[in-house]
This record gives sequence, C-alpha cells and structure tokens, in this order.
Amino acid sequence: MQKRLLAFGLILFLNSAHADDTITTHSTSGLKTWKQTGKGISVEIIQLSPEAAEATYSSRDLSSLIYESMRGYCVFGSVVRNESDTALTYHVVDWRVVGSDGRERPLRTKSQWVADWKSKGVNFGWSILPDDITLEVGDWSLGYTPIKLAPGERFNLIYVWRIHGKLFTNTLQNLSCPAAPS
Amino acid sequence: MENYLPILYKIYLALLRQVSLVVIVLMPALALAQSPAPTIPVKTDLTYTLTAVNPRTPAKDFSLIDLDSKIRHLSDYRGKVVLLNFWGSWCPPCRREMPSMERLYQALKSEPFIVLAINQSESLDLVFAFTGEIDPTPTFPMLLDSKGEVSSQWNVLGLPMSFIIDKSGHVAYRAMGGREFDHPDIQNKLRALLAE
Repeated sequence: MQKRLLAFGLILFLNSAHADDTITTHSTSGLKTWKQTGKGISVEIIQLSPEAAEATYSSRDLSSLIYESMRGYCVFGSVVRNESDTALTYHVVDWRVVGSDGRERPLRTKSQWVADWKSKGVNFGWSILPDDITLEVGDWSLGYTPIKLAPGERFNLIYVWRIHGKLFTNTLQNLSCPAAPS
Repeated sequence: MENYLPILYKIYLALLRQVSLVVIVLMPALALAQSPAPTIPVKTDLTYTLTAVNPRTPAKDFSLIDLDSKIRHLSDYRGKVVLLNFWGSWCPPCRREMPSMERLYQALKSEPFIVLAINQSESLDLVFAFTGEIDPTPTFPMLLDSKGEVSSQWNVLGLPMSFIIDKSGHVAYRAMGGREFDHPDIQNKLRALLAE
C-alpha cells in the first residue's frame, strides 16, 4: 500500500505542470482571486465575503438549512476551464487542501454536500463546483467550493486532472480565507 | 504678405514634421508609458465551441410550465431545431450568455428554431425579475424545473449546460459552461442542422 502511495506521489511529482499564476484584488472589496493556467487547464479560486455566499441561499429561503451546514467552512467561488484542444477530466475527490498546520486533507465534494442536503429535503446542489466531470474543448465548470478553514487562514490547493488518462497536478499556493470582519 | 508665404509654408512643413513625429513615434511610446502595468484579467469570455454528440441520442421528453403557467412538452417542438439551456439566476455565466441566446433567437426567427431556457430550482417571481434585468429581454420560453427532475433526467452536471436538438428530436451537440450563442461558428452549426 505504502509503495502504491509512493508511486502515486512520484507520478504526481513528475507530472507537476508548469503554470502561470495571477492574483487580482477587487478594487473596492479587497477580495482576491487566484488563477493558475497551465497544461491545458485553468483553475480560478475567488474569495467571497461570508455575506455574499449566504445571500445566494437566503434569497431562496434556503439559508437555515444550507448555510448552517456550511458553518466552519470558508466558501470560495471556483472556475475550472478546459484550455486544451482535447477533453480533460477532474475529480474533486483527488484534490487536497494543505492548511496552516501543514496537513493535507480532502475537500468535501459536491456529491457529499448534495447527499447531506437531500437528506434534509433540499435540492440546491447546483451551487457547488461539479466534482466528477469531463470538460470537452471549450467547456468550463463553476460553483462554490467550501473549505473548512478559519477566517484569515492561509492554505495551498493541490488539484489533479487527467488528459488522455495521463495524470497531472498543480498547486495554487498561499491562498487565504477572507479575514473575519472587524 | 506674398513675401511671407514661402516662410509660412516652411514653418507649416516644419510643424507638420513635428506633429508626424509625435503621432508616429512619440504617441505609441507615450501610450505605452502611460498604460497601467500589464495585468492578466480574470478570463470572463464566453466560449463558442459545441461538442458533437456521436451518435446522436434521442432527446428525453419532458413537460414543464413556463412563466405563464402554460405546460410545454419538448416533443411539441419536433420538426424544429431546439437550443435547450439549463440555467440559474445566481450563476454568472448563465446571466452572461442569456443576451446572446436572445440575439440568436432573433437571428433565426424565420427558421424552425426555438430556445427553451430551463431554470433550476428558483421561484417564478425570481425568474421573472431576472428576465427583466437582461438586455435584450428574452422573448423565448422560460421553463421552471423547480425540483430539478428534468436536469437530473438529462444528466446535467453543472450550470449552465446546453444541448442542441435536431429536427428529428436527437441531441446533436452539447456545451458545458457559458457560450456566446450568436457567434458565427455556432450559427453555422445551427444553420447546417436547419438544412438537414
């Protein structure tokens, strides 16, 4: 098992893709957007104020059911684009967050959120980034990515994708959850 | 005065040279110097590709109400090319692509073509208010999939997602993510379907 994990890690290391990173800061809110483009994919993580994320749900009378389940999570906007000339696949279950404690942990996927909400009689899975998808040429997906983080906490996001079955990985570094309002 | 004319002409030519120098050489340099540091903006462009579905698959029929509470069945549109779009008002690319869908609808008004925009899990009031914010205002049918049953039946994984259905009721193309639907590439594909 350990050997298989080491082999998987080695494959990921060898296929670590070169990428261009950009950071933009919203002129009035100060909220940041991180974008990384390389090896046929772009991944964009957008800071949201807790109020903005909550408003999406509260305006649909879903606040108490959904937003309560997100307590303790920092909600980001996320966009994944196929920038290549062929199909690519990603599974959020393969992605990892490295928090300020240096430990890797998985993200809670859309399927997990939807299963939780459906058990409470709510159907609003659309809001979460599709977690298991093939993006054809020109396709892109978007949605919220809630990550368990403290306000202001910094983290890295390791994401993984496949093109023609070949595994690639990259890391968006030094992202952060917006600080709590003072 | 006549004696001064050659001198004035020379001054005029000299000035012209200066102005040319400014326009041809200095202006671009000044423009470069004054432009803000290059930033790579967040890519918000809609794309214009469609993925062909091979072989074409039969489009699953559905019955949904529109904003006038009229029941519409997909099968009612057999014989027309249908752009079926799944959307939500909270979804930025859904909002951005909607005007291009209306422009496309208008461009193909004289053809057997229809746009059906299926909203996901939002109230009639919210959808109605949203359509009023879109310019040009959508005139094609907006349908309400309040329980997400049709999107589930159609295996819609995220929003927006669109399908193009041919006149015989088969899915010919699909697209995940926002599109500029009146782009010539998309219009050409649709016109080819209309010609089948």
